[in-house]
Amino acid sequence: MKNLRDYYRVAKTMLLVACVGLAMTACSDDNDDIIYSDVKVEVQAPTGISNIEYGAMNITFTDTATKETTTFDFSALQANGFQTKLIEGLYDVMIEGDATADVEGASKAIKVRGALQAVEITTNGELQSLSIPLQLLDVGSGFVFAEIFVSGTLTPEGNSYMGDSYFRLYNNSNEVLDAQGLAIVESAMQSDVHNDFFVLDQEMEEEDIQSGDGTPYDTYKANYFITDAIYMIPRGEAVLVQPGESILLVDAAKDHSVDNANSFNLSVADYEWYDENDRYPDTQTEVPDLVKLYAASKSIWIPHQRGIKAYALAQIPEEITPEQFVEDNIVNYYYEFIYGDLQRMMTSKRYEIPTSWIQDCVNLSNQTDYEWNEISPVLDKSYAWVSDGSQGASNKGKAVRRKVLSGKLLLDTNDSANDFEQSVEANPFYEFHD
Amino acid sequence: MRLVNPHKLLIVGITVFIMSSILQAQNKISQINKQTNTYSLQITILSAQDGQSLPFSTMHLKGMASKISGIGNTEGTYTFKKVLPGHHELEVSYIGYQSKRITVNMSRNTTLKVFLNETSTTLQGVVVTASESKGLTSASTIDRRALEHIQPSSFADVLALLPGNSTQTPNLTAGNVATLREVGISSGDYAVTAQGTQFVIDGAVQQQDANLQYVAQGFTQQDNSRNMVDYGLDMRTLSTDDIEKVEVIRGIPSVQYGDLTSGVIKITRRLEDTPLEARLKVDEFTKLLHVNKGLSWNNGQKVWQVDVGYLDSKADPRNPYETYQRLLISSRYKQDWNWGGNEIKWRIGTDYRQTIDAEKEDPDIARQAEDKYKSSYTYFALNSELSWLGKSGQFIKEIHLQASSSYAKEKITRTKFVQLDRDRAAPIGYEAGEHDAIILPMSYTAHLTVDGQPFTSNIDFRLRAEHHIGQIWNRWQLGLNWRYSKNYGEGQVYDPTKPINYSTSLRPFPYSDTPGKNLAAAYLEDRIKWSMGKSRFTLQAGVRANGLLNLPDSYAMSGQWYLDPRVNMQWELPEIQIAQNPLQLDITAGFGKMTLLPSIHQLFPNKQYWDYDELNYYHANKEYRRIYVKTFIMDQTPYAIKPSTNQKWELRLGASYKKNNLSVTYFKERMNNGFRYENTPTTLTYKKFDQSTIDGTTLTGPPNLADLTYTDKTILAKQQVLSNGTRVVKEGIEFQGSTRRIPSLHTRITASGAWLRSTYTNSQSQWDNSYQEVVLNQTISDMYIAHYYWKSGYIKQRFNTNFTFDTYLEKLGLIISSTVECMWWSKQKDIVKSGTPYEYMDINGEVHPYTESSKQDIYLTHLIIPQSVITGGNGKEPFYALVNLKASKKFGQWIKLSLFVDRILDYTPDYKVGESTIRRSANPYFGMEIKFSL
Repeated sequence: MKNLRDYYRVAKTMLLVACVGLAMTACSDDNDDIIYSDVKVEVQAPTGISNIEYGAMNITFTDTATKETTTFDFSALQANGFQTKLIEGLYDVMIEGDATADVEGASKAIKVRGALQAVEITTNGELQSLSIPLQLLDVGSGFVFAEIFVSGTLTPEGNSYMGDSYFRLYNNSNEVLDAQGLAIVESAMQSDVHNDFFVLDQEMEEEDIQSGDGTPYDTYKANYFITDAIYMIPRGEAVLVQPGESILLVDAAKDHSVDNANSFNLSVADYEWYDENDRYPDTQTEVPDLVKLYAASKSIWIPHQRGIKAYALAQIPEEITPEQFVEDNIVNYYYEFIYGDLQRMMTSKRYEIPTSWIQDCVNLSNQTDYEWNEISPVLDKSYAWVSDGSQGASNKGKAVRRKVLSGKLLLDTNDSANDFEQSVEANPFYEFHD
Repeated sequence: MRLVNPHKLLIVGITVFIMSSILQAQNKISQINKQTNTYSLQITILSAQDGQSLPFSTMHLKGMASKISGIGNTEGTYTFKKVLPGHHELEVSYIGYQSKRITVNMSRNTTLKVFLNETSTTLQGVVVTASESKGLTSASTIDRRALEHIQPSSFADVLALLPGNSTQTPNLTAGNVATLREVGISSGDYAVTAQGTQFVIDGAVQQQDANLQYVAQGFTQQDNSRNMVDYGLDMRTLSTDDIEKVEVIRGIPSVQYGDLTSGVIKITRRLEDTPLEARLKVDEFTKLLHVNKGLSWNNGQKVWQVDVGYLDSKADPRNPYETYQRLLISSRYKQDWNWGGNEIKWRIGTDYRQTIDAEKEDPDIARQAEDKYKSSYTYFALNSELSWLGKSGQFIKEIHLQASSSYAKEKITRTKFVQLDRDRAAPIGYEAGEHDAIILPMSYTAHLTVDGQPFTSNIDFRLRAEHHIGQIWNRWQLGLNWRYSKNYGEGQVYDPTKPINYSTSLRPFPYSDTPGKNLAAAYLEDRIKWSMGKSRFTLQAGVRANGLLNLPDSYAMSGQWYLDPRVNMQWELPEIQIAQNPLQLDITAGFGKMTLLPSIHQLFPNKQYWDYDELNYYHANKEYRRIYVKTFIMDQTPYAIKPSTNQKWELRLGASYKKNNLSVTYFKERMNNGFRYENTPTTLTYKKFDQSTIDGTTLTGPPNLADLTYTDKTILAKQQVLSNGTRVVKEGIEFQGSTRRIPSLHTRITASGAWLRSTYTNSQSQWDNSYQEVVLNQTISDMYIAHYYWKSGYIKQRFNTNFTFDTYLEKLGLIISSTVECMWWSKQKDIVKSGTPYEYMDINGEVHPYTESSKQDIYLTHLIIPQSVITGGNGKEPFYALVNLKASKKFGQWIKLSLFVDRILDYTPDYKVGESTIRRSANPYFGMEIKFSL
């Protein structure tokens, strides 16, 4: 039987090898298919106009985690029933472009822009619908911020020096404009801290607030700009500014270079903001003061030095007196702080201005700290920056300055990353043109 | 025919013989019975420590076939009657003392004195954890062997052994605060619990009331962490190498102790004949060297000991610029002698301490190389005690007189380069009213020296008497105490034209002008013991009266006496025999009140000087600038202040079986009137000159006030005045169990831990105007100050247990202990507060209710301070465990090497809070030391 035994031995070995082989083939990688989700995008036309026809528009999805962008041509999207496919993730959506519509009776070429932030695209098999409200993009004419300097300077000895912050306002049109009633407005929210705010329509006791009460801030900010400081150019006399000329609004209008060689002579400023405090006084120079409508801090107002807030230039309507303003424009909002089973309603009370009053708006932030756009993207789509985010000396003495478009006009597309020279040496007297 | 059968004869004979023997034996026995004596055995039980008799002690006498028990009388004596001759075994026990077994050979009437040792000194040879006291109140005892084993750098490491505490990484560059039985909080509003922890070293109370050492301006974070004013004793200044025993009284101390709230930490220092010993310890942040020697003469009747120690510590070993150094020299001497049959004991000790906290900018990276900080402290103390001890049987048992005194020279020096960005007035005004201010230069170097010289003295007289009324043993204690403390320093010394902080409200002021704290107290206490059946009862009741002398009449406390009644009782249950061994149980309860009187800093605060600018005129030409101020002198003396009182209850169950011990204590302490600073409204009126009329172009000098118009302005301001507004409630269950040293393993297992719940809140409604808003150029906090009901604060809880396994191998001279510190959970809950006021005050001082319409007013609406409100659960941190290892080994006769690694192992898992994951980790901390005994 020897032969048969050998036969069996060989057969057993081969069988063993075959089994091992099969086992190994069983361990193969899964098929790595990318899963897409069906997304339907809808737009809502801006209010106050009619007969809108969309022209060249782009819609951009930015994955907040990887920062990758996917852009679709809007008309192509329209042809496809506004439906597309996206990988699951958290996205910021931005849509903008040209359109024509009837504005106040006449047909006009308009620019529109709309945005949604932090939209979650999931892959649960259902069709997701996104609805983006569009707004009229108001660019170009009127007063703009030509230069913003908020980070302060360092003394030659290396100490921090404050009091030389300034805003340079510029007449970016072809006609003479009157600056009275124009106000610098700082945003209450910061671009480096993202909370889920809700705006209440009336004051409520903290205990009574239920989760989800009020209007979500992302919707609210399309129409209102919540502020923690408003200083207005006084009414009374006309403040006429020629096209291409500027007015300078500063903290303390004195010659700072006497005490700090790294600072500037601001005694020639047009206006200063003065905070009355008899214990620890502000400097009161002969330069006229701005009217202080509201500030959230009782000490000297310093625009946020880390450069993470937005600044708006608002024209306060003539018929609204300061007293009327503070009575009508108060706003209460909250966000819910959740930590495990611990919940807190963090409430705040501030003032707001309608976005319709805003002539120009600049958002400041930096790459390291940026978390969200705390204002409507229609006002500013991105941000200007003075620093890389570190708190060291690198951002001291640095400002953001608007680029020149041509001649006496400065570039203004409501997109600060594009419109500004970032992190330049501050110079309140920079010559934009001859 | 035979006459007598020889077999039968033999049987009869034997029987007779046996019977007569039996009869004889019986006779003999009865003779013996008639002739044998029994004896009496009189036993007296005394304490080996002080020779005092221990009343109602338990005694068992075991013979061959019998066991007789008895309980001693008030003198500690019991007589066993009719004891058979021969060997007997006598076993005596007394609560709190080590039981003893002696063999007694009875051959005549015998009288014996048996001396018992206190449990903590001899229990199974070595104890390396804290022992729970068996006395009338909850206390922890830590002896020298335990101190050597934990290898402390400073006294703060010792408190980690108390139930409820755990080991912390030593931090010697910040003040070390002592608190008892609480979870702990870092707010200054609750410093009263640390202020109320009293340290007593060799009978001398360590008074902290004259500490005024802080930097009043130019606070850095480090200044704040070293500021110990009104925080009690800074434990960094205490070395542990000269300590014989630490007793921490956590419960209700005898009325002998006063001017405290939390408890007493009693330190007894070594005073014995020792070889020359040197200890060198090194760990991550610290180097320590300590040398000591003790000598004795006349058979131990005279003993002298000297200790010298040096310590150097850094906040971060990589940074040589932030350091703490400590040098101490201590010398103690005692002498005993006999005077007419009575013993006289005299003890005297002197101390010298020097500590230096220093911080300097690294010259390579500093912007201003001249910035520096140095705080030094030189301390001298003298302490003397004299006792006359009564003989046994005398009514007066002890007359004790103690006098101690201390003086310290404390100095903080600070240099800082200051750069301003606006014109500021120099803080020079000493008088109230209007005057021109000097305008500070824009940059200058400022120097500050704080010179404090606290002096304290303490005289204590105590009388102790003992007697018995029938079967009730009675001990009286009567005492008188006087304590004085005052600061003789120069205070804050700086040039007001170059201040470190321009906005300071203080002016240079010598501390020596501040009155001292003059505290007098008297106390009376009675302790009675009796036995009923096999139970023993002890009851101690006492009252202490405390008062401040020479306090001006304007103070509510002037001439008042504050009484502290305290009661402690103990019931020792009859022993229950379980498996041939007795189970001893005792139940102890106590209730008491503790009063803390305010310190010098609290009673006599410095006046504050508030400057308001009536004119602040800026001109490009420096010569034309003018600042005209009105100075207000604010007196913040707390005339209405009352002492802080703490009421404590506790209940303890103790059990002891075959040298295994267990005790469980429930306690609750409540204080509603602790010290804290509260806002008090005040109105100020000054002029505001109209600057707009000044024409800068025509000036030839500073503007003339006569040319200007002004308006009167009134604002509301708030002052910080000391009040009794702090409420602290401490509650918990402490437990401690230890096994005997298991012979086969040579190991003892100790478990100690506690559940603690500490509530920190305010007890009165609060004035506040911390809203910041300015509307239409009106600063709202100047216009209104609001009154809120809100309770702010925290409820903190934690539950932990520390398991210690210590192995003592005597032959090898090796002790190894490992401790597993388990923190089962800890949580914190914020106390809800509503930000809506119930009333507000306007600038006329009138108070109005806050109504719905107030919420609509454009200014009053801002009086609602947004508060964060808790809805739902508490923040809870789940379980973690840490393992510490300590080992010491003797090499030969002269060298002992020790090593410790704290957190050598850790189990600190991450945990989820909603969506976020919290990561936890623990870093080991280790050190080594070598000790020479020559």
